[in-house]
Formats: sequence, structure tokens, C-alpha cells
Amino acid sequence: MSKDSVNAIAQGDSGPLLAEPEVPREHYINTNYSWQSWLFTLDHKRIAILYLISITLMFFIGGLGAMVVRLNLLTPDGAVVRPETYNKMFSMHGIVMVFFFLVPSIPAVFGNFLVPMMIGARDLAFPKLNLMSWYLYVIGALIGTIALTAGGVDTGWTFYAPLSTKYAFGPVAWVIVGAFLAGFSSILTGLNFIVTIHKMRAPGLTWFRLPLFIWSHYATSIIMILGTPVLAITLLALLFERVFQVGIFDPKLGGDPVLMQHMFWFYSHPAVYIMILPSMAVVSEIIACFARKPMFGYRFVAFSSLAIAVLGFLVWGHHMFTTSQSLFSSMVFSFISFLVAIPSAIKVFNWTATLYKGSIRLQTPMLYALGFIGLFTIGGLTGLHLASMAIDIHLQDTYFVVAHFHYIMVGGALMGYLGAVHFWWPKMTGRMYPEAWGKVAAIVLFIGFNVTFFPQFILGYEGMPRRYAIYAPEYQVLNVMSTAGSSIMGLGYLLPFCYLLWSLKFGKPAGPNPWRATGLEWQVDSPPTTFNFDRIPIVTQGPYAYSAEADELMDAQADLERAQVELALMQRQIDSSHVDEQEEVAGGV
Amino acid sequence: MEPNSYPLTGVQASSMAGDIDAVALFVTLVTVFFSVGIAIAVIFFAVKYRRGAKVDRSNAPLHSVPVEIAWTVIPLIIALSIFGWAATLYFRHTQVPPGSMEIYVVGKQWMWKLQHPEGRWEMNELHVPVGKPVVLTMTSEDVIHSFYVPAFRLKQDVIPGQFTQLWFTPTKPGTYHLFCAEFCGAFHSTMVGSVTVMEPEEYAKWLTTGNTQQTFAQVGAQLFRQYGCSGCHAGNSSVKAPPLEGIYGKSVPVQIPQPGTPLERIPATTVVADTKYIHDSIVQPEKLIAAGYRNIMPSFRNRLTEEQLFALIHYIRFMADQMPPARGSRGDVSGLTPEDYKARIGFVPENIKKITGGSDASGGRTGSAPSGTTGTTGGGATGGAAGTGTPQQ
Repeated sequence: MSKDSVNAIAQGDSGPLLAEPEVPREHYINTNYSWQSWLFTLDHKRIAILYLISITLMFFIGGLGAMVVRLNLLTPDGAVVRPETYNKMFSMHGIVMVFFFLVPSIPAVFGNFLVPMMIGARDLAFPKLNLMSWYLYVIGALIGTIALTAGGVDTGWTFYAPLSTKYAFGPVAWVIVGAFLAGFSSILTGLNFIVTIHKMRAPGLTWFRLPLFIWSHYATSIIMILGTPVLAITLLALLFERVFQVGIFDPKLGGDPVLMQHMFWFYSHPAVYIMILPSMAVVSEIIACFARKPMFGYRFVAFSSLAIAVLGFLVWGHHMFTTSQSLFSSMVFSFISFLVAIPSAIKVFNWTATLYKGSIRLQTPMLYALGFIGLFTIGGLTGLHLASMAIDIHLQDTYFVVAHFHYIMVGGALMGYLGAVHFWWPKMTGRMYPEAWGKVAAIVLFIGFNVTFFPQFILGYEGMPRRYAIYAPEYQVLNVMSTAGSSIMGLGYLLPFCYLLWSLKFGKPAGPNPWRATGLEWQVDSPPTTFNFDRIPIVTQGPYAYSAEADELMDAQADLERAQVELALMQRQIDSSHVDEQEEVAGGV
Repeated sequence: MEPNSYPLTGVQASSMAGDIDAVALFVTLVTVFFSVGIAIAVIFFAVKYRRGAKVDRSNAPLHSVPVEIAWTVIPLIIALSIFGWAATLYFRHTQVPPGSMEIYVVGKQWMWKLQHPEGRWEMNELHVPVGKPVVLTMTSEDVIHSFYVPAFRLKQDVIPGQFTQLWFTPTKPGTYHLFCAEFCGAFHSTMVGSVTVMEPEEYAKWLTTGNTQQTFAQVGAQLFRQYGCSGCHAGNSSVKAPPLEGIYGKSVPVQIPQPGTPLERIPATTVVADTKYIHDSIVQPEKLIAAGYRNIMPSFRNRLTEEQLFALIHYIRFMADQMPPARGSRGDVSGLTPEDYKARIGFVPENIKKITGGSDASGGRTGSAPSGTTGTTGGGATGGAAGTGTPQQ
């Protein structure tokens, strides 16, 4: 900026530096406000918003279940509800959070919104299929949630037979139907992503120029379309056994209950990677942007996503070391489980290395991303305890398992989700969230999370089984700690809910690229227009064209200019007050 | 018993507990090392390279294959050594020591029933002597349960329709928690009890107290008569059913029926007559048919409780321990000649010579079964469908 422009600003002609960014006049949200335009929309961005609203609702329903569970565990004999109700509450918490929140969370909201934008496309390959997948999800979630809240089931989210097919009361069949439908939504989303990523990349956007977000979503989609059908078959088999007494899993009807576990975990273990891979995708984007550096070891990070997707299919038996699974199977499953830890470790090391010689900004998305690294590392490494067969015969079905998977699913998947919410909120809504509140919420959540779940590792090693409404008194102290932590965590969720809603109306306009991020989605207005790009971009370089050095220089220069502007403004103020004084003096005479 | 009198599970009360704690401690140290290392690195970089800090940012590396290989291979070595250590321990956990004291466990919503062979049974409590390996043979009447003793660091799922085993050597007298670890319905969390480890003399005294009129084998013998098993299976019966004296733990020749294939065309194979085989033969007699017999036995599914089945199995086992069969008796199927088979069931099962170890194995091969189907005895059953083009009749 030249001296002239400083003068110009000082004279009230605000230049680009102090310019308030504006929300563009026409974009995908305000183009039409009618309800039909939302419910029949084929715009991937609007469908993403529909998902965002529906999964947020689901999150709070699932959270309600968790609240009752934690409150009840305040005393050894159940503080608030009877054991039957407790069982229904943890089942509701698990089923809603897994099937209706975590699995769709990042892919259905941010994948939907960003995959086309990141690859320079105007929509997903199959917009109508995309809308249909939302309807399947909503119908499934409605059926499931009504069944869970109106009647309630006490099967746990795992639906183990013959408990679920014969002994459990309540509308189990309806919950299964709900999860079954939501599963199809997930299959269609995965299919849509794969086709889109293969066929609709902008000219010049080769595979190794793709953001890691896309690589991870590609890997996630593979799991969705290969794993979810097996879940569908399993749920259907459960349904047939429960409703028509077809003997598949119940030994009294000639079935095999362990078969059900094999089929269930064949999906549900890879499903853990459906939840965590998209979060890793988000973390890669955020780390690169807020460290102002290209991702260290881009190809290793990209291929580790695929390695996780492939190996993740071969480890399901590590959930079954204490069943009647054969020694040989257990050995193989344990061995591969140790292998799958390696690509995750590679990612963590590469993210950390990316920080080296960066120019690090600790804004809210970055706090979530760094929190993710820490919590995911603990969650992943405690997975080694459980992959070790000898330790697992002690820890299986205890609170150690609960703590471990919450470190992955909440500390990992959910932290990534919230990081994504803050990072792309300006892009989705055109408004900034309040930064200070964002940081407070991220820190509150991090503390609350650890106070809640760390004690559960100890509880588990001391032998407290999971899913216990009533427990031995020596476990009380740690349970009270955990419940206290969960109330802090609850606050950490309510804060973003409030200030994000507030920011829709009162947030500062964000401008196209508030983070000065690379990536095609940042090259267009916020919020984008319905078809994203007026002209399809031509890509000539890889992702993450950040330079910490150049940024530092730019920052220093900007700081200097800002100081100059302030100085000039102050000068002008002094001058004018001086003039006023003179006028006053003159008037007084 | 006062719940507060339970020692915390920090106590190591079985021969496995110390070893499991050791490997768990090692994995925990690995966890701490890497988590703290990563946290320190992240915080250090975040402070040192914070925006605006005047530090050297030149020549930042973007990739490095040697570094990538290092942080792939080193964690891999650590991971695989943990695998090896834990797998070795787990292997030990699956090998029941011979001569273990056997106790039968039935789980049902929401209680444990434990049966000592000497006759004494208990609910939700288990008494065992210190220093002696104990093996629990377990099944469930309804849903899946899991037998978990934190002080032993051991658990094993208890699965309906199956037998699972859990062995341990208690090392420390005391009373410990017994939990059901697999969610089993409304009152899952009350399916708890205790395991009391006693000095051997105390245990011997304990066994004789309480209402124990009969040993478990006597209970089984009574059921054996009451349910008419003895009508066909006893040595002097006229119906052609395999006698059961001495079969427990031996290899027995069987035919595995296949839908649509007459029994005559199915080659025989052998299975070990263990607890599971006998259990299945009672509730699903059509699943495996003793070679040399027709399938005329009715199923006792849902007519006997799991406890009664345990008693029957224990009785059959007791007979094997007490009275080995005389060679050539009807119980010793391997002594049958092809003529005997013909006389009994009208055909000679393919492979039977080879399986029963007859010296004139060539006789069994005269039908020139296609090569490849007469491999191992175990494979005979699966390869049989293809290899029965020339039945040995």
C-alpha cells in the first residue's frame, strides 16, 4: 500500500484494508426462501444445510440420553432412573449418536457442501440421488427416534442376538428399520462421492493435486458402499428373526449368535473409520491453513487414508476375543489390528511435522484440530491395549472400552466436526462466528472431555463393566468425576450452538476468504452462488500453496500499514480536535 | 456380605493376573510416551512458530522419505512386539491344563448357577481352592452373558447353544467380584456375585457342607435313566444305538448328513467326542450320525435344561474315566468289520477303514475314489460330496 492510499484512508476513503467485506447480493441461500425450494432442492449446498439441521437435532437427542446416563451414575444404586430406563437411555444414546449423528456428520454435511466445491464442480454427480439420501436419512431417523423415545429399547447400539431378537421388549423392529433406512442414505452418499470425485474434477485437478479432504472422503465412501450393505443384511436378518422367528442367530431356533457379531462388526468396525476418516480430512485442511504450510508428506497422508480403509475391513474380529472365536482367528485379527494402527500414526506424525517452521495461528478451528491430534493419539494408543488379546480378556466390555472409543469418536470425530463447523461456517453462511467465544468453547470442551472420559480408563482397568445401571460402591468417586466433567462438556456444546445462531444475524460478514486459505471453495463468494463457479476453474498447482515465510512478511507489512493507518487516523483526529479548539477559541472571543 | 469388604481389583488373584498387568503396563508406557511426546512437540511448535514470532522459517521441509520410513517402521516394531507378547499370553490362556478341576456354569437372566462335580451347587457365588487350576465349562439358557472376575483379569463370554471354557489358577485367598460383562437385559447390572478363593482344606470341608446328597455324576445317571437314554444306549439294550461307555474324549467315526444325499453315499469322518459333541448329539442328533448307526434318535432340544445336559455329559464323561470299554465290545466301533456294518445298517461307509485305522486300508479304496478327495480324514467330509460317485456297496 502506498503512502497515497494511507492518506486516502486517513481522509475517510476507506481502502481495501479496512473495508468491511460484504455478503454478496445473491447466493444459494437467499435465491429463494420458499419451503418447497428447500425440500425439493437439488443443490448440494442446501442439502448439506438440511443435513446440518437434522443431525444437530439428533445430536441433542443423543446427548439427552447421555445426560440421563451420567446423572444416574452419580450414585452406585442409580440416582435418577430405574435400571430398565437406564438401559433404554444408553441404547438411545448409542443408536442415535452412531447411526443418526456420527456416521452422517462430516460426510453428509461438509462432504456434501465441499466435495463439489473443492474439485471445481457445480454439484455432485447425482443431485436427485443426493436429495433422496437425505429423505432416507430423515425417514430412518424419524422412525428410529420415535421408537426410541416413545417405547424405548434396551438392546444397546450393538443389537446382539438373541437378546435383540427374542428377549428385549419394546419396538426393536422399528429401531432396526430406522437404522436400515439411514444405512441406505449412507450408501447413496458414498456412491455419489466416488462418482463425483472420479468424473467431475476441474481441468488440471489431478489426483495428487486433490486436497486431502477429498482423499479421505474417497476412502470413507469406499467403506460406505462396501460395508453398509452388510449392516443392511444383518439388520434385515435380525428383523426376520424377531418378527417371523426365522432361525438365524438364536440357537433355540437353530441359529448362531456369534455369527451375528461377525456380521455386525464387519460393518461396525469399518464404520469407526467412516466416522474418523472425515475428521482426519478436516484436520489436514485446518492444520495446513493455520500453520500456513503445505501438508508434510502429502502422499503418505493420502495413501494412509486408503490403507486405513482397506485394513479397517480386516480387523472386525478384535471385538470378539472373548467369544467362542477360534484361537487362530483371534491371532489374525489381533495382528491386523496392530497393522492398522500404523497409518493412523503416520498421519499424526505428519500433522505434527507440518507445524515445524510454520506460522501458527491459534484460532478456533486450529484449537479443535490440535485438540483432535492429542485426543486421537490417546484414543488410538489405548486401542493397542484392546488389540492385545491378553489385555482384552480383562478389559473387554469394561469402561476402558467406553473411554477408548469416546476418545476416538468424541475426542476425534466430534472435535473434527466442530473444527469443520468453525472453519467453513464463514463459507456456508457468509458470516464470521465470534472468535473469542469460539476459543472459550473449544477450551471448555477440551477440559470437559478429559475430565469426563479419562477417569473411565481407570474405572475400566479396575473392572467396572459397561452398561451397568447399578455398580459396586468403590467405583463411585471416579463416576462422580466423570459426571462432573460431562456437565462441563455440555456447556462446551451449548456455547457454539448459541453463538453460531447469533452469528447468522449479527456475525461480521466474512468475505470470500477470511482465512486466506487455498482451495477452490475459497475462491468464490461466501455464501457461494447456486452453481458455485461462474466459470469452471483451471487448476495449475497442488493444494496448500501456503508459505509461512511469505505470510510472515505479508503480516508484518500489513501490521505496519495498519499502524500507519491508525497513526494517520489519530493524526487527523488530533488535527480536527485542534481545529475545533481553535474554532471554540475563536467563537469564545 | 458387605459390599465394602471386596478388595479393589488392583489385587492380582490368578496366575494370569500379574502377566496381564505387566503387558498392560508396557502398553500404557508406550501410550504415555507417544501421547506426551506428540503433545510436547505440538505445544513447542505452536509456541515457537506462533504467528509473528521472529524465528527462522526458511527451507521448511515438505516431505522426507527417510523420515516417513522411520516413523512407519519404529512404531511397527513396537506394535508387533506388543502383539507377540500379548498373543503368547493369550495362547496360554486358551490351553486348559490337563487335570484341571472342572466346574459347570450356567448363566441365565439374571443369575449364575455353578455346579461342582462333587455335587454341591451354588448361585452367584463360586468357591474354589487356591493354587489348583480350575476350568469352568459354561453355557447360557437364554442370551449371551460373560463371566468376568476383574481380580483374575479374565473373562469369557457365555453363549447359548455353545460351550465356552475359562480356566484359571487362583493364587490368593479372598473374595472377589464376579460380574456379568455382556449386556444381557433389564437387570444385567445385578447379575453379579463373588468368587471366594479358599485354602484347600477349607474348600474340602466346604464341599461337604450344604445340601449335597448326590455327586453330579449321580444326578446325570439318574437323568440317563429317567429320560430313557439307557433304553437304547445302555450296553444291554436291544435297540441299535452306540453305547456311551468310554467314548468321552475319543475319536469317533461319524457321518455328516447332507441334504439330498442318501446316507449310503456319504463318507465317514471322525470327531472327538467332547463336551460339545455330546451336547449337540443330544439336542441335534441329526447333525452328526455315528457311523454304523441309523438316525433314529429323537431330539431332546427344549426338553432338557442346560443344567440337565451338563449332568448327562458329566455322567458320560464319568463313565469314560471310570470304566474303559473292553475292546471288541459294541462301544468300540473301530472293531467292526465291513460285514458287521453291512449287517447293521446295510452299507459300509466310504473311508471307514482309513478312519478307524484298519490295517486293510486297501479294501476301503477299491472303489477308486477320485484322487484328491481322500486326503486327510478331516477333509473327507467336505470333499465327500464330490467323491461319492462310486459308493462302496
